[in-house]
Amino acid sequence: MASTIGIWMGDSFAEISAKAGKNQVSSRWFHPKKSLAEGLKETLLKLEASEPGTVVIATSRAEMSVARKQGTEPALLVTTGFETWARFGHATPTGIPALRAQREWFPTSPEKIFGIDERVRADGTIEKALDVTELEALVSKLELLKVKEIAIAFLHSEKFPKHEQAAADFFRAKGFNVVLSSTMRGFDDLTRVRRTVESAFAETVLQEDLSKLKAVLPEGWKLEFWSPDGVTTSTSAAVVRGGVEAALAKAFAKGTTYFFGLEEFLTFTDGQTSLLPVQPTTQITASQWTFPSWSGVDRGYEPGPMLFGKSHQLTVLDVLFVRDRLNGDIEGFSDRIQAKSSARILEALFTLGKNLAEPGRRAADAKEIAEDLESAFTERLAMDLAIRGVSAIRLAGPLAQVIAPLLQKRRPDLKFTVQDLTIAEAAAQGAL
Amino acid sequence: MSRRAQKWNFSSARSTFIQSAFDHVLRDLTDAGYACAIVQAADSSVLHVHPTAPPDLATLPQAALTCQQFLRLKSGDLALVNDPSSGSFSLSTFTCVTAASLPDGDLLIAARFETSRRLSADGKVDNEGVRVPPMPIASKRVLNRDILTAMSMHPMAAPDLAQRVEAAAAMLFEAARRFEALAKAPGTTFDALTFKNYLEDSSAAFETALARLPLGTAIVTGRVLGSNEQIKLTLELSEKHVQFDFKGTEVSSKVGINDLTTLGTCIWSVLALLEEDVPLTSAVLGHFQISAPTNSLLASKSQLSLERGLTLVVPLLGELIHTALAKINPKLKRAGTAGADALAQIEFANGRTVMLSAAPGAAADAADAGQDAYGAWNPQFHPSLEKSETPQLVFTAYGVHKGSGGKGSKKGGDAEFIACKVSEPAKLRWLLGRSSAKAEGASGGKSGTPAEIEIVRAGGKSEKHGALEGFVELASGDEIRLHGAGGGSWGALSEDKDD
Repeated sequence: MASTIGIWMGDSFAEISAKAGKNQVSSRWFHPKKSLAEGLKETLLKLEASEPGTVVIATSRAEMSVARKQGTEPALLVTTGFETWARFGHATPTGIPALRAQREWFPTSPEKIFGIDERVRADGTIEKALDVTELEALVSKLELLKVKEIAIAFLHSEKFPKHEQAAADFFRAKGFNVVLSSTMRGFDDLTRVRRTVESAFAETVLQEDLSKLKAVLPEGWKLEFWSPDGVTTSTSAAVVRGGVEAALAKAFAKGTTYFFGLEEFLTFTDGQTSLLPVQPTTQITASQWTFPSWSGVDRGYEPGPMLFGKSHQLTVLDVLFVRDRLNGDIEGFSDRIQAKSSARILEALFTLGKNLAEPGRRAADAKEIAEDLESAFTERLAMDLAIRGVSAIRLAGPLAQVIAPLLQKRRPDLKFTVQDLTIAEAAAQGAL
Repeated sequence: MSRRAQKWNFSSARSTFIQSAFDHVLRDLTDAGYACAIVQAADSSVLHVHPTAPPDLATLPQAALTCQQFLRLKSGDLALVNDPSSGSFSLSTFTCVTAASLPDGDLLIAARFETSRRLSADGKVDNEGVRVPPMPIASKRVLNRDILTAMSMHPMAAPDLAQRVEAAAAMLFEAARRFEALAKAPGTTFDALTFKNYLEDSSAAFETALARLPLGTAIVTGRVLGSNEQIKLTLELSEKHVQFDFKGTEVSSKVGINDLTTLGTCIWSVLALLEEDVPLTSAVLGHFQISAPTNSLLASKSQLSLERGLTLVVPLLGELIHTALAKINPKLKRAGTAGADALAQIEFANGRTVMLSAAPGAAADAADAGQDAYGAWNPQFHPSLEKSETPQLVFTAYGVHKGSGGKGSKKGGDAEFIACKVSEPAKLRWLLGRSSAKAEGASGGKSGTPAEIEIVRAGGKSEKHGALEGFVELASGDEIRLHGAGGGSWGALSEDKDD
């Protein structure tokens, strides 16, 4: 019987779940400790599969590469006259009066944006046909700029993609990787351009990871990816973005599930996926209230929460740690915890409390603050539960056992079940 | 919450939760770009405002209260309004209001969205769009589609008005459901006492933020571009209050904004300098005191064009307030900016209009260069480029007008530009407003370039227009290029630096 290996390729963690006949192998680890390729190699050795099988990957590397600004700037080709349009974007109203607009970071530089002399109208009429021979002059410029990825976003290409496809064929024949805006469905024009550039930005990072995986994969093994449209053999960042949510959404298709992962807290209800308002590495800071608040900034694991010993930014995980909630063995996570960091975390909480103390009131004890922050965190989760109005909830993910008692205490009227399903296991269930 | 917490900041912890509850309930609406407000029906106290334009701060809660006053909304009802005398500030801005039924009294939830702006030929408001007084358009969560259809058929209604109202209604009903679910959840206290404490905490939080501004008084004057009426402001910053006295401000027969728009703009202007996420409640808004002469151009009750008011008066008011604050504390000084979009409206024979807008570059200050393409005093409305194109009109360029910002040690922001070509005869009506003047630099910095409309005729001849407002006829094949006004820069450029 063919073997199946499910892989979660996260931002900082990796997970493998493999099955070959009666043999099962699973593990989770922190990326910097061991590469994914090494982990896969070890798994294949232990699995002793008698015949080639399928590796199914669910990854958030594409979107995390953009979030962390760790990718490779692509070239962006747009309809001539619109070179600055996509880059400056539109101001995002934040609800806070401000003299400076909030604009999303754009994943490429102005000197890598080129206008192409083509124009298709809204009804498909070709006002200026694309002359592919004119693209030749661009090739040497791109080589000079050491560009390997190209994002192409011509106006009206979602409905009329021929110009983009012709340009893509030309550049692919020259050895470039190309992402087309016409493959980004269901977005407005500006968002479509942005997602195209983001996908091209993440492509090199993703392909580097994949090439190392392929190098250790024995002959005959198939490689598949989770995407929002299901499992696919495509490996492009544009396609596999959102793969983790897709794999989990399929596994938790029925009922309401709160997934407490090491990198993301997600909810799944009736086919809808959403991020919880607080994430495991959401930073805790001072706010306009005399009580600490969630900053809305997700620090990730580089350098990570204070309990890993390298950072001085307080996060949700740090609060749970000093409240002795992380005493169990969470594979791949617990061995990273530095016991000595407890004192540093309490010191940071004390400083936060001292700075926020109201005049005439005593500053809070660090452990009091930790208790109240944990309570505030639980209240935020309970708020989300209340809004969903469900009476039976499934909790899943490596941190589910940590958070379940907090929620149970807060809402003894609800029925919670904890399901031990990892992202890698969910990924493996999707093999074509 | 632990008993020990009561010793230090229990109330504030509760308020943090209340604010996060508001954010959570309204998340779909705010993510989709709506301005939102939550008001207690019983005592009209404003619990939360999420503005997207300065006038929202005062007009949006008022729109909710006016709808409630006339329509007595219950959970499942929905009202629609855009009438400026009922809490709007523009006929292109629509507000939907519903109610959430909580055990201790109803909450009104308002959501506001922008549609395409419209310039009137005669400077009067009634030709700027369809006017909707507080109107019931849903009951028991069922929309009255006959009313919506009738409204949509009005020649001045935005073509997508019905869909926009439907989308807003769905999200508002969901927000109300969330509130009601939250209020019923064990351990959640959404009662009058909790809200009272929340308002008190928000007032205290604001006073802490206000304490970072210096105390003092300043007197400034400015004149409306074009019609030249004076605005005079005596601004006083005290420990807990900000007072705006507009005595000496003139009446105008050409331009004006209503008192709520003035109030919202004044509050916004101060809060924008605090650069903090201060909770926006009636307790905070109550720290601002404003008086303006009745019927002056800042408390206008006339039927003058709202778009002219938004383009000429609101940004002038904002800039005057910042000038006054800079007199009290020179560290707050900034260069100039037009603050509002330059507008150009193309009117086709079949009645279809397309509005082009070009945002100005923002002002630089001692610390930062001005941002490109951002009018802080504007409603932010950005329709899809692709969806705005028709066989009659094709866009030929859109982006940032490089070099329009003033040159200096800290460069002024570059303005937006937009260009299109028409394929049939049309009329072009424009309102460059404050963008028609140069935004001054400061501390030796250069001014930005003013806004301009260039028409490249089908035969190749080019004509440029820079007047505050105007009108020309267009022929098939003409291209219209609208450039916004660049922001003023800060500081002289050093000789060896190429900006």
